[in-house]
Amino acid sequence: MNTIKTIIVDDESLARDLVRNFLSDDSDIEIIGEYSDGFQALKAINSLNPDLVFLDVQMPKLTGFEMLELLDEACNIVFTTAYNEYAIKAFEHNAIDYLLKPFSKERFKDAMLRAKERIVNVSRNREAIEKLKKHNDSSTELLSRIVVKSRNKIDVIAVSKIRYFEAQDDYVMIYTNDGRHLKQKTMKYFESHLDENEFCRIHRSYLVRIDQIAQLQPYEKDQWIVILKTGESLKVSRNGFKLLKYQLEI
Amino acid sequence: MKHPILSFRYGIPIYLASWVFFAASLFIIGWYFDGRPAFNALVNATSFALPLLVLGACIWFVVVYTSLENSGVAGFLLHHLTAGIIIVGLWVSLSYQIRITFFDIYPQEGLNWIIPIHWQIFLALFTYDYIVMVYYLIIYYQNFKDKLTHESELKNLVKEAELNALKSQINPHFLFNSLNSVSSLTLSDPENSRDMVVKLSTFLRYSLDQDLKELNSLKNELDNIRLYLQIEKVRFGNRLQLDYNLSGACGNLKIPNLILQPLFENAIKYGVHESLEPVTIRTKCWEEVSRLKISITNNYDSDSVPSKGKGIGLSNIQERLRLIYGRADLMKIVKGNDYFTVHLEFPQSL
Repeated sequence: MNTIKTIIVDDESLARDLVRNFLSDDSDIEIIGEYSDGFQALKAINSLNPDLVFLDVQMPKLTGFEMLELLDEACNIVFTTAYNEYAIKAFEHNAIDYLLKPFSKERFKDAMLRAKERIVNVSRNREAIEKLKKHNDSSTELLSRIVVKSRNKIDVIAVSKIRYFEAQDDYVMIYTNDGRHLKQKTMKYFESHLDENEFCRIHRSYLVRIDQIAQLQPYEKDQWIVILKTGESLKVSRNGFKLLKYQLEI
Repeated sequence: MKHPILSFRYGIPIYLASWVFFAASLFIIGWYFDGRPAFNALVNATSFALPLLVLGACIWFVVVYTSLENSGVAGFLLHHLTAGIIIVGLWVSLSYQIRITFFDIYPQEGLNWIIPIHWQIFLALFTYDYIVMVYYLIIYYQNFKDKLTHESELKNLVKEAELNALKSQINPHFLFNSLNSVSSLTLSDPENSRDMVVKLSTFLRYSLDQDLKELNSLKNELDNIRLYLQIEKVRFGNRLQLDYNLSGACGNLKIPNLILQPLFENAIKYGVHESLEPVTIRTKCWEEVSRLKISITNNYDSDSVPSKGKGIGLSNIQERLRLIYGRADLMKIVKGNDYFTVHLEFPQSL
């Protein structure tokens, strides 16, 4: 067996020390990098393609889960965190294990056994990719921010800064005050993962932030458009009109 | 308050049964003990009892709007005397009218027929008093029950508040992450890990011992905060910078127990946690016209997109200040582009 290329991601250096120390007497393991935030880790994982990643959840800028969403390819993850509330989400991401800080060496070895088993069994990897891609559509947690990757940078967009979403084939264009961002997701995904009191699906192609709406105008017979505070106008479908009327209580 | 005849489950049947009992007693007294013809006794009993059927229910409204607490002893007695005279007058004259109108009986004794008029008045007054007492009894019983439920609700609220306070005193993630650091230090730097365990224990003991309603000296509180920040500094290293600026003798001034703790936790959570660059927490304390002023400032990464906080920490502090000092203007929050400051004022003469 080749060595297992391993990356450790944690914003606290002592926490990284501990994982490194626990790994040190395992000759199969080769640590190829340690990173203290999601951005660096993301870059490293995409370029180094490690076999195993120890990942903290709460980190500056980009949380562990947000980082996973941006990975080109799924990889084998062992979560290490003090928060027990992410366990379900982690296993939905097909995590190998979920280590609650502080953890014992026995527990850690247990996780390593599982990791090796998983790494040997490559077919599971494919399953992991599938699950990773599907995951976010199945969870029901509301979004408070969205991460978008473009060619040379990653943007973290606060949901509160979004004006509206526009469907563009397999992508969704997100319009914010700072510009627009393209994200590979469905309109349905955003519709179901945003607060329905804040956003309204006014048209098959538009999901609009309700407090951005300045006016609702008749357009043609039985046709309506909304005018946003920024002056943009968007078409409203018949269903969308009903939904909007319900939301605005008119 | 709703009329007890309507609000109680068997109110109407009980009321009617009492009335029947009253009428039957009158009949038995007239017929059996007084030796009158049965019909005469029945007429007398019915005509005398009929007004009570309505008046008895009406007396409730005299009772419910007159209480000893609101009108004083004299007012209370006067009120009931007036109401009693009116009701008794109504009652006696009504029963006389019923007798001559419906039963067509004009005996020589006139008003004094079967029961002499002064006994009628006495009986009516006595009955009135009795009903009034029953109604007051009902009211006091009802109030007592309300008070009991209210008290248990209050107790629950207090418990909940205490529990929340306890939870906020010890942030579990702080605890677990610190323990993880200790775990790591035992391997790399055992000396330091022992130190950290002692610090953590001292901090926890202090936090658990304090009663949130009490005041403590600024010195004790700041010592504890320093301990907390030292522990965090072990975790975050250079990412956390500390700066204290204490003027003169503020150490002996008083502040509520643990009131600063959540502010430093916030500075860590929104400042240090979200930033890659070092974050400095500046604490400044000074005295100004018998007031202790404290300001806590931390810089934060203006690019970071905060995961939404619930604002419970700050509103809790606001609420505690309001409860202790009776003022809502003691905390001010200034949010700049890359810094966050909380200004606090603690009046020293309570």
